[in-house]
Amino acid sequence: MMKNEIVKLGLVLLIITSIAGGLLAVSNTVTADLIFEAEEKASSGPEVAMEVVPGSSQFENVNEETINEIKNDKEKFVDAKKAVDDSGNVVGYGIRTLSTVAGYGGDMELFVGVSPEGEVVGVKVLTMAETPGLGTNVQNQEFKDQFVGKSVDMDIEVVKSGVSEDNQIQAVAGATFSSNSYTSAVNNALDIFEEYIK
Amino acid sequence: MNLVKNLKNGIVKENPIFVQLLGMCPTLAVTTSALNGLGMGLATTTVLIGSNIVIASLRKIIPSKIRIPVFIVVIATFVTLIDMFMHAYALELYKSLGLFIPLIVVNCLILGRAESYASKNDVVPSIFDAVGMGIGFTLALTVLGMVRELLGSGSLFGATILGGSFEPALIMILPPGAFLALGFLIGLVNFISKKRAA
Repeated sequence: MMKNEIVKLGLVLLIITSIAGGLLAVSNTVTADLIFEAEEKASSGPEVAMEVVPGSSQFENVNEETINEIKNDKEKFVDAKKAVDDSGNVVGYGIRTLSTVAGYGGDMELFVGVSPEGEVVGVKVLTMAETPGLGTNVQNQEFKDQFVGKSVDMDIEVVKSGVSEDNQIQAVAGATFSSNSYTSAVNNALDIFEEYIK
Repeated sequence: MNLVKNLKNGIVKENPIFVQLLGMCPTLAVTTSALNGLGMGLATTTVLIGSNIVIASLRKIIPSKIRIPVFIVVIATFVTLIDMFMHAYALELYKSLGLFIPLIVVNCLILGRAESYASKNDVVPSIFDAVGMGIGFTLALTVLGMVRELLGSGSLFGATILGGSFEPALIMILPPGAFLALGFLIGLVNFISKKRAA
């Protein structure tokens, strides 16, 4: 008797979990492509291109060999794209990378726009987990704009106050960790640009 | 008549947050803005309605010895569905709610309604129960999010309300702010319900 009951309970559970599994398999098939597209658009769609490299209208892929080569050497590197304008001219490059120095909420992911001459033209944060209202202030225009015009051969340095050299930028008040993490990602992007893409 | 009572029960008399204090983890964690609160509330409501329907209609087939694992499978299936569809269609909300979507599985509100209501009642009253509880939960989360967003960042649903000389109280969107706002809101609800009873 006892044995029968265990088998019966097991069977009922098996049937219910199989139905649940089947349902999830179907919905996974339906959503997988949509999720991929949505992620792709949010991380490297035309809007991102326009923000990271002003004057461009969309990103195009860089040849795969280069990407793989960079991936082998730099573990924090995510992706690199060519930014082209409406008539297809390359107006800059977007380099997507994690920071090499962790902030309070781990690494952040940045898209750094570089002009063909090797100057930073724009930066966009893709993901971060910094403290809201403090660390997240690195997304403020005032902080971001300090990077524009910095050249690839510089090693950008964060200072708490009194910017005196060309390669220095002022940290966000109360968020030195986050500023450092942000800057490390920009520096990493610039290194990658100089070594592989220029 | 009873159905309306079911509905009101969840919204006012047994409000999941303000009266029963169920599901505190997402409540405290995601209510940094009104929109997050609303999104989380709606996601939870959808899961609750789905699980109440399935559990109420299967209640005579599910052997009572394995009801808990069956409930969890049903709830987890709905949560995974929501997770996939949100990821595909509402990427931004998906990212800001993050880990708390999968954690709806362990929201004790949902298991609580399955065990104490849906497993003992017909499908239709169970739907009303779920809708009532869901509205109560969503309402509480949205109000909590509104209070925190207004005081912590001076805006409501992302639109700046208190600009200029208003200095946002950062603490309100940090974890301590969740406890402060929730405490005051529960106090207020108790105060009002006592007055009405008197």
